[in-house]
Amino acid sequence: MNELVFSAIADPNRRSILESLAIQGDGTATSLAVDLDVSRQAAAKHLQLLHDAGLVASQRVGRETRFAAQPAALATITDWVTSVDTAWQRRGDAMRNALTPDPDDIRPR
Amino acid sequence: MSAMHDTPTAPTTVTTEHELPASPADVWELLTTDEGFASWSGEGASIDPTPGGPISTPDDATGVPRVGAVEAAEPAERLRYRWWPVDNPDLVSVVEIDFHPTSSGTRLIITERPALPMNAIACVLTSTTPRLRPAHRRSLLHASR
Repeated sequence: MNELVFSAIADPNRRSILESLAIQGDGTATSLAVDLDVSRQAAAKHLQLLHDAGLVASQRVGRETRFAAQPAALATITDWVTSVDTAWQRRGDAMRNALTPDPDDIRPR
Repeated sequence: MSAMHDTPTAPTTVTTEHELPASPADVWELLTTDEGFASWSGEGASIDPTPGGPISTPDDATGVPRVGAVEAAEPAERLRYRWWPVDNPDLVSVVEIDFHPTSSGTRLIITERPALPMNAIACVLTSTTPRLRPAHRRSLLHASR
């Protein structure tokens, strides 16, 4: 699994596809080929590798196959943003405490 | 590199603002001297505020020690560095801190964004989850909800 993930993201085009799917919600080999300016065949091949690595899910809708980034991968992005924001709020509070030592605010290290 | 990577990084850039009751010069001291840095970041934290200078901190805010390197240092105006968790060197992000004088002190505008495209970060996180401390990640996330 990990090996597939690493080889899947080693290619900048495949990283762009994941980014595009994350931003747009979903896409087809045709729409992603346009986004990346590559052939539809090339986009389809990248999507297959991403699919094999478990990074995108596919769904047949009428005549086309739509691809979406896996929710787990999206949740990971949200988690990253949330944790970075929380960390800076804490660091900002700590800076303020360091500048204005208030006996009530002093916590044991 | 495709044009995709040059598109605005808004969804993956985290921006926070902090009002601090001290002059930009004093806040600069707080952020860029070992003593000042350690006073809010954690005991033993150190920073060399010159381009290429090393940063190291236990980062008490997250409990995950981080290291990195300063990229730009303009006293009392701007500090930029890249850093990463000691236990996950693939997870590099760029931090930029802008200093703005206000009537009551200094407003810091801090941005942090991944040095890699976000999807690659997601994959790095996903594939290394067992190496992170799950309990700690959980507490960080819950604290903000």
